[in-house]
Amino acid sequence: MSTNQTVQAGPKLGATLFAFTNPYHARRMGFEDLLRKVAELGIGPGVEVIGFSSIRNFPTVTDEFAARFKALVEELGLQPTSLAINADAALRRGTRMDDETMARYLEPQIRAAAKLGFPVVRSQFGATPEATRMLVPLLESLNIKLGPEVHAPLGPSSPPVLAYREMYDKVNSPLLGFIPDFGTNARDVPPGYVDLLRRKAGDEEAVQLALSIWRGPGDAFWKREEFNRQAAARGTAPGTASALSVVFSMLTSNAPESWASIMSQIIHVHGKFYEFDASGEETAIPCRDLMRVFTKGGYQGWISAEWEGHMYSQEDGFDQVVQFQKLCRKYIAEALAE
Amino acid sequence: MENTFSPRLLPPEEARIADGRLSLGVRLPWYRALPLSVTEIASLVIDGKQVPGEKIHLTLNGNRYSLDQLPEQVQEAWFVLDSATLDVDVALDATIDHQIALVVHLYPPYIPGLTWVTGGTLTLSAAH
Repeated sequence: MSTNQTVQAGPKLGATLFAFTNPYHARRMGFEDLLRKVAELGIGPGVEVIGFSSIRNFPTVTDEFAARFKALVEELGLQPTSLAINADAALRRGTRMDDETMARYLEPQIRAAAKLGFPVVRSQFGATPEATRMLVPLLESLNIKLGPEVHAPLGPSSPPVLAYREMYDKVNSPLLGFIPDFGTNARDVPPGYVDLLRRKAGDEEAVQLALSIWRGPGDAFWKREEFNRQAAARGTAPGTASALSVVFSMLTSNAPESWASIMSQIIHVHGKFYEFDASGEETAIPCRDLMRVFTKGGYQGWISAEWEGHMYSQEDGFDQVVQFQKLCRKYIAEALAE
Repeated sequence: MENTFSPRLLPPEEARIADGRLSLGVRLPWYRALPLSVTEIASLVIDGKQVPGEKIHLTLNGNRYSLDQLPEQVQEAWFVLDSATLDVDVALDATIDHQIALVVHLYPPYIPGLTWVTGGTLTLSAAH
């Protein structure tokens, strides 16, 4: 985009059904109930689905299921945005699929996305750049975009992401991109998650050590190692250290501006978030800065609100998604008005 | 061991003693379907006593497996809304309460190195 061009529109908002894992897993609400609720609350129109979560026998999608899904989203005024597919590299414990096997594993999942009317598939770094390159003719024949999710502990400049960027430079296909997850941009660990760590660890000093290292400088991999080193030195129980070290993989503190380096390749976004403070602001995810970076960067694709507070809360997630989208809308408008 | 799925791991309405043997429904403690090959029944303790693995069989989608057969079941999908059934070959008196503690390990096949540990407990009340 040239510098004197005015940004006219910002990102579009939707929700991923992953946000509603609690009512779904508890068998309180089925797939169709969730879609109806998204429409009723106005937290679409974009809707993202995890194939292996919502669809029995996935990646097989029956004609009946596809017809029912398409009729339902039409009736409800929803728009399928991204189908989350899985690069299950270690289907057999301790082994790893080769590239051809992975490409064959992902192919029916991509075909399922096409059959259901999703324009994008969310892939994962369990598929190597080479496995993904093998899928380009399929993506072209179906006109489907594919992007691995850049989720903590990875960031836009992590080695696996750089390897993909190198492949993308060679292949130069508009169907290949990336899907950022806001958990890479946390400015702190959400309070509810800290409480969970406390309950799991039962060792306040170890919790404080983990938090101080998380909040300090260094990349996620170094921090995890450093925590394990210091925890071992102070005699933290191995099980406790292991439970706490997960925090370094779940959340990282990359600057929101770091996405600028791949902005033109971003095909979808996971708006990961957790909880709000008394003033209604997100406690850990820098929503204002992120909306500014994506809006000013010219991103006009979808952001799926992805509440992950269900990691420690039994709430349904609907109120949280409503509040998150309210914040996003406010900060997108603010960025557009600047 | 306690995580967000713990309260749902052992649905009370799916546990029973029939002919002196315990049968337990078990939920998949994850948000998406996984192949049975990446699931592990790590520990079952009844009334404080560890049950040997060879006394436990798991049935899913109508197919019955010994626990040591699970790592090979790459094609058997455990859908996220379904329960597997554990049949436990230990004599139990249905006229008294029993305390059950189960630990399930998952090895999500797209997250290298992660062992997802979920513990759940259940009090099986005496039959009336």
